[in-house]
Amino acid sequence: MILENPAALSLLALGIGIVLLYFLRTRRQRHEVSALFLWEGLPNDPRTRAARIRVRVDLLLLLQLLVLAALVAALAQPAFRTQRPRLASLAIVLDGSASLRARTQEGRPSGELARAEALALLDRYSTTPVALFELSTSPRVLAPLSAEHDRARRALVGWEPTWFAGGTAEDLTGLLASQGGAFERVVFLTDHRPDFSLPGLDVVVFSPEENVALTAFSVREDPDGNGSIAFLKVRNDTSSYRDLTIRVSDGSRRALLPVLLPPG
Amino acid sequence: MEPLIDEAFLARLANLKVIVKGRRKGKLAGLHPSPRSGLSVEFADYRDYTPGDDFRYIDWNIYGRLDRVLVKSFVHEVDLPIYLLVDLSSSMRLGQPSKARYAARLAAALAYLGLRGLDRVGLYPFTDRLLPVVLPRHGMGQMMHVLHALEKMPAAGKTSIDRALTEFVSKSHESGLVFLLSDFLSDAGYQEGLSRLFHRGDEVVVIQILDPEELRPTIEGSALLAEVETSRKVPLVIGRGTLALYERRLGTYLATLRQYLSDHRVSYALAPTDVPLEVLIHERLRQGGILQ
Repeated sequence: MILENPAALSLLALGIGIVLLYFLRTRRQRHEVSALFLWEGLPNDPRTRAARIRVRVDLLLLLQLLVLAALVAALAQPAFRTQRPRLASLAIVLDGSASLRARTQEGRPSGELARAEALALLDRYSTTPVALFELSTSPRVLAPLSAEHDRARRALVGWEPTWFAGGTAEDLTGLLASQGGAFERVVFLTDHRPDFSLPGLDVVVFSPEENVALTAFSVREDPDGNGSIAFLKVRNDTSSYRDLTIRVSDGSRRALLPVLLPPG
Repeated sequence: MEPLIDEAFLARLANLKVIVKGRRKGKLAGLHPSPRSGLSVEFADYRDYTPGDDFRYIDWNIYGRLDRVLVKSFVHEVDLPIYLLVDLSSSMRLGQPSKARYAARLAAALAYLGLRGLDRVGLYPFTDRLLPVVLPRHGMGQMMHVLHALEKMPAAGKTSIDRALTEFVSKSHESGLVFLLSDFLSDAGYQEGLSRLFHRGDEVVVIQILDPEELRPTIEGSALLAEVETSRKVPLVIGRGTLALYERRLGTYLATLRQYLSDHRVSYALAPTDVPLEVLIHERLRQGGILQ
């Protein structure tokens, strides 16, 4: 803990004044009596005087000193300084697969959660050189390794997950190698646990229980000339059955397909 | 404020009367025996017939047996002036209820008893001098004068029992029964004033009215003791030891007062204001031979 205004501590000297005033001040209670001749000449009771001082110290004096201490502490502005975590280098890898376009139960896309977590990492490691990657079947570097995070922040603002599938361990290794490869920490932000593992890889999974996603989609002309045929793959990564309606539209035509997806 | 006296309280006083120890030379017919012979039904003595005596009082049986003409004499019953001297100095306003209020209620009760006993009752409030007095008179009409005077008099000023009693003796020419109601907490002395009463032949009853706080003070800690009748102040740190010394000193003072009064055959009663007035009257004053 440090004090922003240590000069305020000098006000503690007022406590000495309070203590002195306390004992010097005569606070006698006035009592009317019929005749003083019965009281005159009686000696002061030394035990009472000592007891009185003890009572005053115990109650009022302590209270006043506590108030002074609280005031001084407030004026001194105590503060805690903590060291921000610092790494030699940090790689933030965003899962760019199409499943991150899926919305959570709260209605937010998982990609948005990944972006928010990436921004939080940039805040936390504000002085650490950071490289930002997107991992999908078409991996890419969103922001090269740099201690200045402006570019990474800008890349995050406009980032959207792709419509591709997720990348592989080799894709990730290649990405990291493109920026030197020796990252002290690698954080992979995804909506599902990947089926690969790398040393030093921290996987952050968003809403794994609520993950229902379109993992593949293609369209072709009907050979019979009756319009188009859509092929899609939907994955339910939750632990329960999900009753969904898939809507496919080319802008003018629309098809609705109710599906019941088993877990997994 | 509580009335000085009410009907229920008066009803409970019905069977009481003031005790007068000696025979007194009253002016008017009353209920107290006089040293003179008179015309009551109570036989007093025989004496030799002298010309002019009423034949009706000759005891013919004695004449038949002893051959002497003796006349029966009867007790002459006279009234008695009762003087209620009430201390109304500043010190009497202390306490809850105040000593002055307690004294006023007691004086009202004594006035009632005196008037009901066909005596003349007068009220003589005092501080270091006599305040406006209610002269002794007969009859229940006097009760209203006494009550009115007691109600309107505030307690203020210094005490001087000596001066007040000296002034009282000079203004009241007839001896009687003097009830002196005061806290007697004054170092100005009381012997001289009381001796004037004794010298005149007054029968004196002293009722000392004290606040319980004066008998058993509860003050503790650093105090500035201020005498209400003067501007004198004494700072004192009071503890149990101090209070014990005070009570010892007060005990000595009260013992000296009682001894002095006892030596002069003066009835005395201590009346702490926390003792209900009825208890004081029906128990303490009766036990003290002041009322019966």
